[in-house]
Amino acid sequence: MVDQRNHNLNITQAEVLNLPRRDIGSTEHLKAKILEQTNGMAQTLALEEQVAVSKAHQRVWTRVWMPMALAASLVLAVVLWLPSSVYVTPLSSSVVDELLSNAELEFQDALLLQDELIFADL
Amino acid sequence: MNQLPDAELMALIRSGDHSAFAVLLDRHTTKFFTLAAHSLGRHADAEDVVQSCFIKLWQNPVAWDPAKAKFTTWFYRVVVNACHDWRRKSQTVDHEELKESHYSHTKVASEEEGAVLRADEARQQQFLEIAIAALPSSQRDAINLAVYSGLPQKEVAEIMDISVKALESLLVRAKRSMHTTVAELLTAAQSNNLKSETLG
Repeated sequence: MVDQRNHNLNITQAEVLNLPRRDIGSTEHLKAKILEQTNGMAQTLALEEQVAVSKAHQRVWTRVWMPMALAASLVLAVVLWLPSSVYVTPLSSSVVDELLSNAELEFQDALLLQDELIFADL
Repeated sequence: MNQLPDAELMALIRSGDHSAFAVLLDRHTTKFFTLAAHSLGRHADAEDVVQSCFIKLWQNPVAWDPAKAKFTTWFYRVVVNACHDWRRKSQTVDHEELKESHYSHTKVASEEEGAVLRADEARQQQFLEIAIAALPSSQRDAINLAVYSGLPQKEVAEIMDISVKALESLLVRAKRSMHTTVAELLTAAQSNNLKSETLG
């Protein structure tokens, strides 16, 4: 009975094996939609990246360069102003060297910290 | 750029080249959309799935490892998995929806036009689609990839991460189930016709 009906509707084993392919129509609008969306996304990402970089630089300035500038000013004050103002024997060259070398070390630390902060933010 | 192979386009996409992405999109959207449309049954769902897959690709192009599979094989797998997720989430695509549904671009003659033969063909196609939708997901994927997407069995097996033998077995079982479902639907349709003729 079933076979007869299958025959009537022309559904054979061969047809089930070779299913007719459907024409699914144009996908142009879909492509356009995806392109539009991803294009916007690329811009958003670029903008976010810019903001992140700018924030990183700001953080580096407040956390690294400002304290370093203060430290350097202090060292300069010690080296140049303090000895003359208190009328004591000027600092020996070795003390000055030590102060300068400390300042340099601080400067190196600050540079390292700056790199770390930038990489951490990116 | 149109001549570049997929792998080179993907390398450009990794560096943020949107025009390379446009070329890749133009080259492959139709085939992936065809798969999703056959898998999900509705154009709108298929569009959403394909769109989200391509957006994820743009956002994370490094997800594709060229050493493991060629781009299309990998992306077919991505689309198949996305279709599974979509089905799981929506729990739709029932037989009634399929009967009324989709494939809005398909030209099918209606019975009202008096083209009995075309109407029979349309019904036959409809029953086959219902039968495909009723298959377990692995069998349905096998049919969609091997038949509707027209991929070679070796590639289908690779996409589905199974052996060619296992794929053949899935296809045989799928076709058997489809025969049974179609036969049942035909029986139901004929008895409905008989009833309406008797009443008429």
